[in-house]
Amino acid sequence: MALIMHMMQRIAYGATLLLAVTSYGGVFVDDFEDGVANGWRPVRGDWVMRDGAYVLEEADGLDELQLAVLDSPWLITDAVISFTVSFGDGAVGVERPLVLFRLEDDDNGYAFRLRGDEKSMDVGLIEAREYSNIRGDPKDVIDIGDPSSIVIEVDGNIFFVTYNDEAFLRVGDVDDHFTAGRIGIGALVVDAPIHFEEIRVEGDGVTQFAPDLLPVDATGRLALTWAELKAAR
Amino acid sequence: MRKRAVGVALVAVSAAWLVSTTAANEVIDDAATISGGEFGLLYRCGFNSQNTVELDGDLSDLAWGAAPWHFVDHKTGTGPAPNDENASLRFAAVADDEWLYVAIDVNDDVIQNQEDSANDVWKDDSVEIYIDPNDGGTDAYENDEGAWDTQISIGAENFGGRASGPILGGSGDGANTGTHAAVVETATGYIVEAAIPLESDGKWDLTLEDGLIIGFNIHMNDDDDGGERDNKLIWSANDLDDQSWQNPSRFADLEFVAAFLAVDPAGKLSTTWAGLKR
Repeated sequence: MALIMHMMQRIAYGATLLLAVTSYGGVFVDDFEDGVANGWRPVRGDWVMRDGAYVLEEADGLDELQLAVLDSPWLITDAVISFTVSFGDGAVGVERPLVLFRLEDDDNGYAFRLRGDEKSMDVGLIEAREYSNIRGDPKDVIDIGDPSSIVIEVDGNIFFVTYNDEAFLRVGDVDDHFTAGRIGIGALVVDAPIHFEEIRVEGDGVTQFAPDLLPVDATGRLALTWAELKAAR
Repeated sequence: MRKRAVGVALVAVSAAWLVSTTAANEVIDDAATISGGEFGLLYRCGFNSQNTVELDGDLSDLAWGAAPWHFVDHKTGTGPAPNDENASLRFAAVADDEWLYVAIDVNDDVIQNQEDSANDVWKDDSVEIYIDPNDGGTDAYENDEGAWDTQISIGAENFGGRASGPILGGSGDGANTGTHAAVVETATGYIVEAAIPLESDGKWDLTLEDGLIIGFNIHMNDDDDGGERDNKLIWSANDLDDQSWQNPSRFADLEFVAAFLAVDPAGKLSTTWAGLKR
């Protein structure tokens, strides 16, 4: 009987936790299938819509940092950001795609960086458009020949990265450089076109704000994912 | 039938919840003589002249049974692993008049110990013990006597080796700290039982007293398939970027607590229970 009571207490606690999380978690999704980049503002680089992806065709200007910023009415603090990235024909892995988060402006924030030819990825700082690595590690599973599905859990000053469903990297910023901001996509090197697909953001205050974007039931499937990730940490 | 199905589902969900909570980071001190501190921030280490353990890779010493343990799960570090069986660890520390003993019980389903050695052993299966004797917490390693920061790397390459002469590596001249270590393979991974001298010539000379704090950290390197390291686990909550090898400010703390730990845990618990019953 005591065990059953203990289990029931656990279930009640879990249900309360789930309700608490789903009450506040919102969702933004852009799969780019409609061919419109509503909400996205190119800052640098030649960006085009093609085949259900937002594609960074080539770099422009002398600055290394190429990016497009999502001009959302909300800022993210803690969130789960997921996306898929692939490369155009001829890519050999020297491209350096980025997903930027907690961007305070177009030049400052955090960034996740994929380094295909080195089979590695890292998280770092963008400060005055310059990238500096906080921490990264190589792993043999990285293969740019196939689309890479990446999830970044942003939790306080700790960033947990999953690559194709495999836990890959857990990095923290001990100096807490950026606490809130927008998200963006971009690259430091654009040797071949970089395709960004199915970008999803889950977190407190996040909304599906742009008129052409997919309707999302924030209390349904996606919010549950957010809750599961939070509960698992 | 429906009620039964719901009941089974509830039990299944509950079981999953209970299982999931057992694998998280935790301080295990229910059976310990002293409280264990705070995970990732503070380890409380009992010291007494009789807290001596035998370096043989066997953790049945009475002191280990009465010491608190900290469990580091597979997600905690810059290179998380898929599950606890792949990579996780628990560790404890005790001290007598001459040595700081550290036991690290590693879960590792695939051992790689043939490719890299000594200062490069971080690319194979290995653990690292970090010491900041004056708890200076500086941004770079100090090398003054009494303040000598060090990283002591101990690899699974030491299986079958002499405890008094292990192959060691690490920055801050970790190989020459006078550390002894027994490393043995287990059914679920391996055990490192290390003894770090309280007096290391030219580096430090610790006089233990109740409440003395030193900088301290534990790392685990996991290599599953040769080549580069696959996973990296880190105990210190201050080390979010794997910089302990060159930056002592990333260490957490170890506090020495005057406590006689070489007692039979079974006897101690019985006495406590009897006392409570009275």
